[in-house]
Amino acid sequence: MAPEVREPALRAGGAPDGHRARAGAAAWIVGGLAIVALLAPVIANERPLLARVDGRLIAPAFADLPILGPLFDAPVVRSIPWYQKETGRAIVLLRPPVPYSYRGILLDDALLPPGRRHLLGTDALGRDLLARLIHGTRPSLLIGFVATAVSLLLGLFLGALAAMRGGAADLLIVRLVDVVACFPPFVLALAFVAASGHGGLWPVAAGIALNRWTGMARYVRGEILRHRRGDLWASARATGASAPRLVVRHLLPLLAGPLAVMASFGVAHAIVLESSLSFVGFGVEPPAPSWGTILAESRATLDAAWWPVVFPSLGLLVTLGALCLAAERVGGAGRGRQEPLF
Amino acid sequence: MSAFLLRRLASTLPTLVGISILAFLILNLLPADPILAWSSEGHQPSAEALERLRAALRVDRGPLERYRDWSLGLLRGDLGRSLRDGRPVGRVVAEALPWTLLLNLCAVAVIYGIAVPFGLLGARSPGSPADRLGRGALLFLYAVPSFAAALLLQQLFAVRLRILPLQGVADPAGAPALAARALDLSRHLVLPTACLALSGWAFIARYSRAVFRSVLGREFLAVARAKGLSRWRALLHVAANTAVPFVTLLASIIPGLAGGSVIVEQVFSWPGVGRLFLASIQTRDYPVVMGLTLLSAALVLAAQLFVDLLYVLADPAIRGRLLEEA
Amino acid sequence: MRSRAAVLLAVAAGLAVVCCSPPPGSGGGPAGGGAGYGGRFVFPLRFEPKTLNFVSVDEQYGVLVLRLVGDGLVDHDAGLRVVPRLARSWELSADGRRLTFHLRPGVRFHDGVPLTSADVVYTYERVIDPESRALTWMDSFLPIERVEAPDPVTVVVTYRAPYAPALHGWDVPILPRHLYEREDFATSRFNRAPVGTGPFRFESWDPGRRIVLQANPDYWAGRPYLDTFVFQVIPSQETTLQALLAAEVDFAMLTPVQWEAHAGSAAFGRRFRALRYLPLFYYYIAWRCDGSNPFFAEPAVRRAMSLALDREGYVSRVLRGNGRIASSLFHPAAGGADPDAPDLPYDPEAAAALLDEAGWRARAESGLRERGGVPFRFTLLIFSGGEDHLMFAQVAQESLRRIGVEVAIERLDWPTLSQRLRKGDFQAALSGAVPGVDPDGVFAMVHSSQIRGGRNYAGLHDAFVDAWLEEGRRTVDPGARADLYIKIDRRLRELQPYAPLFFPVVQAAFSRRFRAVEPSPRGILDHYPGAARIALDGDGA
Repeated sequence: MAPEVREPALRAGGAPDGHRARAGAAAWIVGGLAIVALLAPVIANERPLLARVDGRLIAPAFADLPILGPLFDAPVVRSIPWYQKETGRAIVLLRPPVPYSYRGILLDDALLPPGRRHLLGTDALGRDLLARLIHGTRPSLLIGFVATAVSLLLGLFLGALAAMRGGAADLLIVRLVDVVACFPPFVLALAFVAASGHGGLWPVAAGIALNRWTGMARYVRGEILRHRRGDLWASARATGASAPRLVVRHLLPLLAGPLAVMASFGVAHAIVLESSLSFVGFGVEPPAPSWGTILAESRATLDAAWWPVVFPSLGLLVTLGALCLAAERVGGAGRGRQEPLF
Repeated sequence: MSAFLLRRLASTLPTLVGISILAFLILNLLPADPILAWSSEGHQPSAEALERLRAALRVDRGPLERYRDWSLGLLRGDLGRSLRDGRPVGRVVAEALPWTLLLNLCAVAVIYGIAVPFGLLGARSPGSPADRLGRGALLFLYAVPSFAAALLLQQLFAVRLRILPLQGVADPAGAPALAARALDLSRHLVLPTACLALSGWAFIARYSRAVFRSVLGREFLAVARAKGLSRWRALLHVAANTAVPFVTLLASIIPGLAGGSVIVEQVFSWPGVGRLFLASIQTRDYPVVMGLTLLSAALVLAAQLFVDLLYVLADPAIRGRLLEEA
Repeated sequence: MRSRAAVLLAVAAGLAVVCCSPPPGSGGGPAGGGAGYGGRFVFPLRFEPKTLNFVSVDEQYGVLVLRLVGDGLVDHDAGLRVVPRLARSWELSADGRRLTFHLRPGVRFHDGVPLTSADVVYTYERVIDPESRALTWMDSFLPIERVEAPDPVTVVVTYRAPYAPALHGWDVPILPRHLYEREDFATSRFNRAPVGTGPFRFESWDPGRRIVLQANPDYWAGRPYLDTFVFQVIPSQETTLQALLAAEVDFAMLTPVQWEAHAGSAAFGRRFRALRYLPLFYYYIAWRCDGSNPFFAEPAVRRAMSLALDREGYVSRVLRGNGRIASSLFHPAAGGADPDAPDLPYDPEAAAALLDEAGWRARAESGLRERGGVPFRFTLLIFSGGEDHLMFAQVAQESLRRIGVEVAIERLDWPTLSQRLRKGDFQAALSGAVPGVDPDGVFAMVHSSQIRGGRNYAGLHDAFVDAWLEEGRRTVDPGARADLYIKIDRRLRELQPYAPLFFPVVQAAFSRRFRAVEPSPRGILDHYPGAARIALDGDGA
């Protein structure tokens, strides 16, 4: 299928060197999003960061942190208003920057536009949109990156295996790629998630990964086949390098740039696909908010409220933009290493 | 050449078999039997009624048995009948597939028609306003959710301005003349096509920008221009040298073409494959899902075969390799 | 895709029209008031029916279409009362087992062939034949022993035992035997081009797009006012509203948010009439109370759950007041509910106290409840196709968390959910139900015979409820029957195997170009004479 012809194209936007700095900033944005994703419970929470109850110092918001959470045993049902009510025995020492959680329902605040109390407004159930977006970063990025990483690994491994082993293995893998690639992406993801019985982060990520690896596998296989004919290969073999070593040490860097571009759009595409799955009832399980489910839920209130549509879309835009720039940087780096060799 | 074609054709057979097995596997992982799918939240029959049906209709056969029957039928050219309405699957699919193909081909044409010029402009003068627009604004459109874009387009063009139809594929009044019908259909195509195109531009624009850059940077072009080749002649050379990457890209988007977009088809009441597939999954109409998968896969394979032929025409080097591989 | 619930609602919308109906049976015919013949009415369908076979149809939308093409022996009026349609009259034997229908003479199918009692017998046979998959009607015909046709205009139906709700099932449209007999029933061409005796004739069906009906000029009750009735398939709720505004459809049900955003304007009021009705549909949560989980076996705990759900808040804030709290499994229009029983209020403190009493105590550190080391943590299954399902489930989750009960929500598509409900493979489930037009409809939900594979999802096994339900089926006297169902209702409120949640009140817009019809709880179309009464408005047209 001659995938190597993709290569020049996928060597990204070919950012001029002057753009390196901007690409670096983009990498910082992605890193920042990842930090927001990890620290979401202490950025937006309806429980205090630090409080004193009956003379004891507790840190209730920290109990929601991934991994570290269990270290902070605290009443999960008590929100800030409770501490304020119990003036005698409790006092809030430190509030989170956004004093709402992604799940705190305040029906009286339903569909409030952005304002002082709720910076980005509220959804149909009166949940703070900013808090939901902050907490939504984690599932969205997880789905985006996990699905992309899985498809990348699968594609690399199977693509390389097919090219290196040849023969029956090659035939089998090429067939498998052809078979899977024939299914329309949404259909495959939907069928997979439906078959797993229910939605949820991992089935969704797996369903998305399932149909994105084929393009990568085709590309990797084609590239390796092409380079095998080159001089590099022969000379490297002559020095006694093993095949896996050749692939990892010498070929991988050559493929890094194009794969990075595929991956950056892959992450964005996974986030969008999760939203489509949410529309048909197979997204992340509620009340966990992903940007996709926030978007899907916003559809019902589109006539009255623009904020639940616009802000998650902006989140997607920033992520995609940053990833594209970051990918250009990776692409540039890959090429830098490539030039002396050829 | 014909030997190559023959071998290539023969090699699609195992792929088709693989596709049918994968589709069948996925289907059998889906929980619940079709009889329950015929009930609905609003209508839930008693245990007695369901029991009568189950006994009479033998839907509880094992998956192997069902696959055998299905593939035997297929060998006779029979895709089976829909579990829900008893009609031949081929006819059910044939009603939806052309609509999806039509819409998606239009979308691809529009995506390429806009994104490729942007890519060319961007590649010729990186950093120019056109380049920034091509890379920034199209990225922005990518992030607009298609349901929101659809609603905005509908409100503007169909409800406020009333210059385009809101939804559907044909005016209910039904113009008799062929030309009038074609005009009517193309008017109905505008909004869904635009909606599909929005999310496609960004990637293709970036892709084509990179493709053109790789060609524009080459020496032959500079030499040709220096020798006095006109701008348009030069462009022709560029086109010839970029044909292959674009053909490759086309091959990779073909499955999406046959699949249909559920959301766009829903919002614009487009009677296509996406809606049919979703409805068939939700009602566990196994024969329709299988038929749909198989027919779209066959279409994809045919299209890929066609793409391979284009390669052969476009690049002699690839011809050699394809022949060697096949 | 808020499919099924929305379908129901839409269907319901299709049915209810009020007003100016003449006595049932007098059918169409200009009734003054500026109404005129002619015109084309476009009704949006959320889903396309799979078949238009009168008995195999299993979607509510298909039923809507078929009510216009075919006639049942009886039908329901806007108040859900049984009225004559093809049958002129009927009588029930003294022992309550034999129902005799007298058909209208001279009724013809759309192809000109006269309808006879043999067609009625044929329709019955097809319904009970499993090959027809007539799940919509089968349950009301299973208690029948035999159906006979002593002469062309008389049908005698004999039930195995006295069966009080018998009449309701005879609204099944009557099939043309002479056409179907020559074809394979399951694959007949008439399944996509139905022939009936109804006010409209089938004209065409563009798959995925629309179904078109034309007025039947020879209708036995006089031709309907409209020339053409179009069912336009529009799968998306947003597009339906836009189609209404663009005058592509003449009727649309709007969501509360859509209503609030659009219906207030004067221009909207000039173009559309507002219809509002309580649909034959409510949401409930089933608590699996057969002891298979440690939580819901005790009535006190189930009661606590119901007390903790903020239904008022949901109806007033999320539904914008377009809803009504349900406190009984019986629909107000169908009878059965105890009129004096108070609604369960939203009272989290009372709920917490009940849980404390039952031994589910909150742990000081976490605030979560447990009993004997078992945390009160359960999974709530919901149908993935509904907006209200998802929204209310999250309100319930949050309401319960505030009293120390943890809920996980799992969304399932209908076939999967349905299977788990019928197997009892769940702890709690939020779903919707269409209560019967007869109070006996509740039999399926609470009688112990319906636990295995049936619709008694809660797994309720109560001797009193069982006995009274069986008696209710046998009791033909309306007064005695009403008393029985009030007793059942009281008992069910006490036991709370299901927490009835709320009725989503339907808000619909109806084009002023047409004389409006009064909605029934089943909508503007699914009642009689219903669509036959829609007419161009003399003033507005």
